[in-house]
Amino acid sequence: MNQKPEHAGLVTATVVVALILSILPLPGGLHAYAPYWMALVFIYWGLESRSLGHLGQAFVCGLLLDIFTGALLGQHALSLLIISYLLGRFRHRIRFFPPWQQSLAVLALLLNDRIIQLWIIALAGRGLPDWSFWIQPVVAFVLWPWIFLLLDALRLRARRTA
Amino acid sequence: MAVSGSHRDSIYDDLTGRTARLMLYGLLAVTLMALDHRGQWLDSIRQTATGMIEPVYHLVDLPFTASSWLRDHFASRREVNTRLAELEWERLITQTRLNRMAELEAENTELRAMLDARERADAEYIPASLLRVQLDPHSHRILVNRGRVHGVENRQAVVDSGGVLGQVTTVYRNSAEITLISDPNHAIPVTIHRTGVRTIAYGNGSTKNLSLPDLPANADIEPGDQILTSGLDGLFPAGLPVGEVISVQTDAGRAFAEARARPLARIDRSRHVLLLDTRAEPDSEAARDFEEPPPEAEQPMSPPAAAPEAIEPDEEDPTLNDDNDSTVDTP
Repeated sequence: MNQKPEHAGLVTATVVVALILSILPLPGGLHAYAPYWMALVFIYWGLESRSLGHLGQAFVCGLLLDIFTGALLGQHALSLLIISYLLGRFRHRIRFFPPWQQSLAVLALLLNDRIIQLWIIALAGRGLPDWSFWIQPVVAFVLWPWIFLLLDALRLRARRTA
Repeated sequence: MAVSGSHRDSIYDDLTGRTARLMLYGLLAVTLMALDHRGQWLDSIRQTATGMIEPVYHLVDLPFTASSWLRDHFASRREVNTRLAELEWERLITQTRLNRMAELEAENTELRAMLDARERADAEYIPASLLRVQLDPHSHRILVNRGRVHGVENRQAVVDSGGVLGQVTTVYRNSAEITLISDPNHAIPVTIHRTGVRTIAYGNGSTKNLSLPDLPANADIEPGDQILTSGLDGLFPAGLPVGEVISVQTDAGRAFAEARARPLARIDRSRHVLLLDTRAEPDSEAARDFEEPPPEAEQPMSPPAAAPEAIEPDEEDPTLNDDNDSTVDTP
């Protein structure tokens, strides 16, 4: 279970892709339903390897996301921090779940995150979000198995080529 | 982004250390949020950071710009012709309206000359397109593709074809950030077109309505009334359409009525906007209005530094000083 150095490039690449996806507009107001890409990337690497396990990394990536999206500075930092912490706490259990149960765990993590973010948005007086705010975790729940398979394939390929 | 350090195997196992680090980073995040929310302290840091990642925004926008360019390039002749015909009609209609306006303007200039009032400055503007970058929906901010190099300045008013959209709050090299009128921290002094009642329209976090919470309980205002900028802040030129009143709530127990207005600008859909140059002197009409601010507008307003300068010493008209409502119908 040691960290494979060849992951570094792939991990960085997925984080960059997640950042770009976060500010990429989707047609027809679909953006409101786009999942929390950065969190999914963190969950994947947290479960499957020890990359991105440090809380400091979650903090820095969250800050980057805040700067990129113009959110309150620290909002996503706190959110990723908590996801990363909870993941570290429960990863031994979640790792061996069958895919759909893993999806459920992802849903729970993201729902919890939505509550934290709602709390931040409300405290900052930035206007309460509408119902689509709660759709994001559900979309992530549905997409998780595919994202998992995709990242897994990428990771195994990276390992093989190394 | 990879894990480094010698004790990588313990990063999950050392629970107390991890919890301690959670607390530490959490505290840091909360402090950052508090500072950012208060403004001022983090503004320059944030501005530098966003300035540094600005090229990424343009990069994300690039495929969209390229595809629309390609679409334009390969559009069929028929499509182009139809579009052209449509635009010709539109131009004809607009031109007719403008011709009538020209007449009014001439009349207005004459009247102003008679009253010794200052000439109304023609607004200069910079056309800009939105960068197709999705910012946090709760930040009520958008980015446009014109920046410092194009002469954009802070606090310029931004309008689209419908009405006032917001104001420029941060200028980067090749882009600028616009705070929308729907931002809960945004306020804009307005006047009800039909009656001339002046008040302030606040954003409330929704792109569908604005709040006008400080109307006198007996104010003459009803759904359908147009609201325009009053120019009292010296920031937005007077007379720009802002919204249309959709509901009025009068509570017998309270001193103020509250109205809601639908913004006329297409806040979540505009693609092309104009940045108005506000370096023009504030309107003399606004200056006169400012001498006699209505009581209802006095308190919540914190006019920017430009407003007090707008008071003109040579403007005193005792006949206008008796009633709030009468001051509005000045020529």
